[in-house]
Amino acid sequence: MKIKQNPKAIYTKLEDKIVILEAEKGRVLTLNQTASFIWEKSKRAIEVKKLVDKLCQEFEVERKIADKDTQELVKKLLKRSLLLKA
Amino acid sequence: MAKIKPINLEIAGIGCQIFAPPMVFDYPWQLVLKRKYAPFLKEKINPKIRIFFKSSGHVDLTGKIFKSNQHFGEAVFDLEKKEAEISPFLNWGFFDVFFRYAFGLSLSSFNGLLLHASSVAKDGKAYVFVGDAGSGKSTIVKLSRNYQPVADDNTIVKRVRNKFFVFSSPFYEKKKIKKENLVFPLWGVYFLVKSQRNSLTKLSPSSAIGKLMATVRPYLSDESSKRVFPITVELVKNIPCYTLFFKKSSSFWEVINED
Repeated sequence: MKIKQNPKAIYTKLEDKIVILEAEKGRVLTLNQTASFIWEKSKRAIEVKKLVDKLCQEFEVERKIADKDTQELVKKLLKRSLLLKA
Repeated sequence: MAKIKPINLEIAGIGCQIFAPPMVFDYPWQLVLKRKYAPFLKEKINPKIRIFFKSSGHVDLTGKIFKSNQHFGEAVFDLEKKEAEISPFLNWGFFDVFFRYAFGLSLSSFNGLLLHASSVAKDGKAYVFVGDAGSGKSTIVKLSRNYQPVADDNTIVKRVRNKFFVFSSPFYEKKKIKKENLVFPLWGVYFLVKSQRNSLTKLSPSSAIGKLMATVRPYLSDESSKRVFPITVELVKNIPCYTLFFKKSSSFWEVINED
């Protein structure tokens, strides 16, 4: 599956964390360091599998765990329409 | 009908004009508003927000903001034009809540935020205290008797030439705070937690922003949150934010002063 950031998403980077505005709810979603990394790598359409590769290269993390966490995050952000299927 | 002379107010440097009729039945609108908002009256202003009283029956309810919201069923506010219409068959209490709503919504267009927060000025600097109902916002003001109270419920924060300032608001406060037109540079934002002892924990901008967004008045909608977000980002980047654990005595100022 290929995904990409919703171009309408409003976000900023504070320290090393991405903070995304959930406009309809009038609140923000703060991503942790690894989730922020995934967010930044999804600026252009990218395969989820490739995201897991990049995550494993950047952080010391087992592939199995990286895969599970990425899938969960992508699912969550797709549900909120912050990420879109490309 | 004779032309109504508007009441001119300046709140946080923003000109507001209220076109109130002198008297509706036995309710002296102009007199009441002039008395309630006295410290904010100004002869000459650059009007940015206008409120009209529509004298014949109900106001048009097709406006963008209020629609058929029952609390504001007799008032409508157009955020783009920053013009409001309100029925004159109401009283000051209703007017004030409506005015606060309209002003709060407009404020983000002027780099400002209306926060559900109390604030106190000490040594020429403003300290803003944020928290849910019952968290101690008013208590903090009460415990700061030696300093200048600015607000116990409605704090205006506005960015002027890259600096943040706190302004007093003319709106109703829970406790009787003497209304004055005040402005102080913003020194810090403190999220309140009642405790057995006083302590201060610095919050990172990324953890402060969500808490701060939740205190913006009125409740954020899709459009308003898009305007509020960049101002809030700038605020947490430039102003230190803390969690303040405090016990019910003025000694909490000691931990604030230490930092």
